[in-house]
Amino acid sequence: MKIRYITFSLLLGLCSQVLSAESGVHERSIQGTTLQGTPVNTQGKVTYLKFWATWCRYCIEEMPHLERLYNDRDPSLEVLSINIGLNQSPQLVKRFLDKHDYQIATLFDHDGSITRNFNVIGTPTHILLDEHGNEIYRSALIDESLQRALSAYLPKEYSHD
Amino acid sequence: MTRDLILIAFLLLSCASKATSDDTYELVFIDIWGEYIPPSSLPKSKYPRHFMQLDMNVTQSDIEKFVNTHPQYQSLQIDKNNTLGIRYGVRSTPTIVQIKRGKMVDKAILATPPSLPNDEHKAIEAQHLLLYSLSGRQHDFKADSTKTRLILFSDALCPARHLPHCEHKAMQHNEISPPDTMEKLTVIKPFYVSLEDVQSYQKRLRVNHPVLFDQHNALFRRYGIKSLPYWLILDKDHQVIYRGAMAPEQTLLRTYSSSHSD
Repeated sequence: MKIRYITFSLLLGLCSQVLSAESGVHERSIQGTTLQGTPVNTQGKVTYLKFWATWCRYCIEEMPHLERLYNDRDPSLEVLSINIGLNQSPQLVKRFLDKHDYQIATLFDHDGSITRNFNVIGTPTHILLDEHGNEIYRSALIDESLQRALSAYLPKEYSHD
Repeated sequence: MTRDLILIAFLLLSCASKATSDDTYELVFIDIWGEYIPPSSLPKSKYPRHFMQLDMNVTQSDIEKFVNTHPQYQSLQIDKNNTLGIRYGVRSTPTIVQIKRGKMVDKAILATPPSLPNDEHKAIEAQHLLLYSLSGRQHDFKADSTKTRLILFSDALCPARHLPHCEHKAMQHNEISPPDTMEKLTVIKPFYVSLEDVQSYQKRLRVNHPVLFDQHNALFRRYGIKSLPYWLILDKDHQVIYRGAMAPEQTLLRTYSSSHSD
């Protein structure tokens, strides 16, 4: 029993290593259809991604900021919210967005593949991609560096408060 | 490197499949941050069980604390990169996956349907701007103050992924010597923590100045604190005269303490 348990643990660790090593070669772009029914394709676009869930209090607190940024941004910046889909349902997320009249383009990560491709293991996670899909910024909360990076795509008088 | 790891994994898998070819076991996927579900409340099974934690917002230290509190979960492991969870299509917790000869033969989803959050974006109530330190002293953020305030906004979960350099910044705050006209405080975010966690933070990080638990998240919302740890200096009218993720210069504190936002 003990040998089986140790073997199981070793296997688990190795599988994780193998898969995380492979995940680095995936192209960092996202194609899909949002919960609002709009097709999205981030290829060739500077893209700001926010990974979140409705049970994540920090994520919910940040939503008004994300919504404002989505509405006020320069069209050259793609902004996409990605619900990670763990202990969530598309209906629930849609209800949440409707409740607050949020327009932010939102993908529901049904099988966890987007979350995994971007190595996201925490919520919220903010990621900024350049037009080639390279990750140029990542943070857990909306910090000042992220705000500075995003300000290039926002009106000059824009305030993050 | 990847090829070598695949080869090793394959060899181990072959050994394991021989060792367990007649065996069936169950993986029970849980979320330690969700509602606590005692193992005794799960459907009975004659097969051995391994508890798996989804790899989301969790560290090995969180697992150890959880197992210390709930020793029935002794076998709990993080499903690194959610490898098994994705392989078996686990999207909610708890879920029991039964494996026979290396293949999933059954999956029981025991999760209840998730519900909408219901207390988000509430208005700040005036009484929530009366905060208390752990020693019970009241700090009023409504009425004018007799002193300017130097505040470090932080989180009792420190150290954690969402709190870069939080221990270093807490120590840095400890070392700041404010002038007599300035009061030094630490204010703690209420998300996911209890008063005991705040007390533990104070002790762990050797904080000798007042620590306030912002139970209604009122100060964080009032001053739009989005990242942590974060410093503010408020004048006597509670207007912001300094804000940033970097500590204010010690040499400028006297200037700040006599300045006014107007």
